[in-house]
Amino acid sequence: MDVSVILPVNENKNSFEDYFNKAVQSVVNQEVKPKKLYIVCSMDKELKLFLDSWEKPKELDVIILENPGKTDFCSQVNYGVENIDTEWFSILEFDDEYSRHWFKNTEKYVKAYDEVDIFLPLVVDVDTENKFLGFTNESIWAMKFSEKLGILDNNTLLNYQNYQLSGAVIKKEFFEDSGLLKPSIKLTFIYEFLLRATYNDAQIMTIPKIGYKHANMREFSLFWDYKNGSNPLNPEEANFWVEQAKKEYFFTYDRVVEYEN
Amino acid sequence: MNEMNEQVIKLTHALDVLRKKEAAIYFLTMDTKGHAKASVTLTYDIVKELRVLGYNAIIMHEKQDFHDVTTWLGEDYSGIPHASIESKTVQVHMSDLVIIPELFGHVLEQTKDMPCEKMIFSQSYDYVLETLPPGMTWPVYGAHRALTTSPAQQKYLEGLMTTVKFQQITPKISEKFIKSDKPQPPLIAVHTREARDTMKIIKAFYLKYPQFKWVTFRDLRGLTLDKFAEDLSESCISVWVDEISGFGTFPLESMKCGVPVIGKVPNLKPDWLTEDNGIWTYDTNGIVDILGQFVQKWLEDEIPEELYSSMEKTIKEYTEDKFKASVSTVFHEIYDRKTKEIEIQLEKFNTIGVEDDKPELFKLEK
Repeated sequence: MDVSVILPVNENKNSFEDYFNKAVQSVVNQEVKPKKLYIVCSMDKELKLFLDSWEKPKELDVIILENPGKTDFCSQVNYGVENIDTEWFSILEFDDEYSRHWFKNTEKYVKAYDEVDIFLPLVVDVDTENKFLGFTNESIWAMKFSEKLGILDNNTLLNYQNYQLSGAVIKKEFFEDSGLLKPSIKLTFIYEFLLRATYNDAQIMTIPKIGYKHANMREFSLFWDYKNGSNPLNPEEANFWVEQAKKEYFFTYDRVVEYEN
Repeated sequence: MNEMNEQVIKLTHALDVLRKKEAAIYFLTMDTKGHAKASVTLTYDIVKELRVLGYNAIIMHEKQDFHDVTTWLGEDYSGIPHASIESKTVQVHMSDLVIIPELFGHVLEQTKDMPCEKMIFSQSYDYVLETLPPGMTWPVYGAHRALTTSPAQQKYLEGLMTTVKFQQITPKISEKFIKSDKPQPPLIAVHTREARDTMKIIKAFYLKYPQFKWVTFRDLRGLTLDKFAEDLSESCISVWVDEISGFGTFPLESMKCGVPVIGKVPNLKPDWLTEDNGIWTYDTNGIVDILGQFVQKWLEDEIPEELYSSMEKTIKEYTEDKFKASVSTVFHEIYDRKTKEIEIQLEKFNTIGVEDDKPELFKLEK
C-alpha cells in the first residue's frame, strides 16, 4: 500500500527498546506492508547509539530521519510528513502496536471510499499490563451519534473530544494543505487538528476493525506526564486547552498560544 | 346414456383445457396486511414462474379486500391475477387445481366438495395440525397430494399424513439479496419469529458486553423486500431465532449477502444447515455469548475464510435456475398425471361403448 509509517522517537529510556521493538514488529507483521517506515529521531545521544546498533528488519524499507529541530510530538510528525513520498502516512507511537490486518483493511477501505481523507483505526486501549480498558474512535459507529454513521463531523467533535489520531491513515496532501499538527497546542493538539480537518471538509471515517493498540497512560508518556509529571496540568489548564482548540481550528497554521495562570 | 355423454363432454373438455394449460391453478394465499413474509413470497414466485411457463396460475385470497403485496414485494409482482373466495365469482372446474396452504386447514371443509383437485402446500410444518380437528387428515377433505419445500419437512409430514403423496419445490433466494459493494459496517441484523426474542437478545447483549454498546442492531421485521435485502446486506452479522422454521429462508438470504449467521437450530433441522456454514446452537440463551465472541472476532478480522466459502457453497443450491427447474418439473408432473387420469376415465367410457354416440368434436386425440 502507498503508505509510510512515521515513528517519532525522542529518547532511549524507561523500557524504550522493548516498546520500540514491539512497535516495529507490528509493522513487520502486516499482511499488507507499508512502503516505508520512517523513524524520526531526535539528536539524543543514547537514542542515536541505540539506533546505530539496531538491526533494521529485512522485510521493511526503514529510513532513519534525524530531526535537528524541535522534537515535541507534533514537530516530529510534521518533520516526518515533509520527508515522505507516499500518498498516505500513518503515525505509530513507539509504545503502541498495529494489529496485523490494519493496512490490509485500510487498503480495502481506501478502494471503497475514495472520498475519505483520514481513516481512523478502532483503537484498543490497554493498561501497562496489557489489560483491555476500552475502545477509542468507535463512537461514530453508534446509531445517531454523528451526522452520518461511521463519519466524524465538526458538530460531533464540538461535543465529544476523545479521538485518537495515532494509527490513522492520513492523506499527506490533505494534511499539509490543512496546516499540519500545531506544536503550540498542548494536550489537545489532536482534537484541534480533527476540528480543523472537519472544518476544512475532510471526510474522516473510523474503519470498524481493530487496527491499533494504544498503551494508555504509560509511565513517562506524554499524557502521563501531563497528569503525573513534575509540572502537571491543572483542570483549569486542561479546560483552557480544550477551549483553545475550539478557537484555533479556524486558523490553518500554528500560532503562538500560551496558558497564563 | 345422456348422463354418461355429459360426463364424457366434461372430461374431454377438461382434457383439452389441461393440454392447453388453460386450467386454473388457484393458490390460496394469506393476506399479510402489507408485511413481508417469506412463505407468501415463495407462493408469489411460484405463481409468477408458472405464468411464465404458460400456466394459468392465480393467487386466491379469502377476503375481497386483501392488501396488495406490491407494497412490500415490489412492482415485479403487479401483473399477477388475483381472485377471492368472498367475491363468489370464481367458478372452479374439474381441470382446475386449488392449492391450499397448511395454515388454511379451516377452509378444507368448505372446499371439500369442489369438483377439482385440491393439493396442500406445506411450508410451515408446525402449523399442519393447528387448524385440523383431532384425528382428521388432509385426505379426509379430499386432498391426497401435497407440495412442500424440503426433504426434512417431507419426512416429518409423511409421518403424519401417511397416505399423502408429496412433491418438493426448491425455494430460491431472491436476486435482491446481494453482497454489499462496500465493506460491511458494525450492524447486526436480527430476525426472530417473536418480537420479544429480538429485544431479549439486544438488551442482554448490551448488558453483558457494554464495550460493544456502539454496535447497532437492526430488527428486520415489517420491512419491504427491497429494504429488507438492503439492510441485511449492510450488516456484518445476522442473528436468527425461529424454533418452528420450516425451511429457513432468512439464514440463506443472509448467506447470499455474505453475512454470517448466528442461529438457534430449529426444532426441524433444515437440510442446508451444516457445521461449517454458520454458527449454530441449540441453546437460545447462549446466543448472546456466541454473538459477543463473534463480534470480537469480526472486529479483529479473524473470521475464518472457510465460513464464507461454506456460505457460498450452501447458497448455490437455491438459485433462480434451480427454482425454475423445480417448478417446471413439479407442475409438468402434476399436469401429466391429471391428463393421464382423465384419459383413463375416458378410456373407461370407451370400453362401455360411449364413443360411438359422442359428437365428433369431442373425440379423443390419440
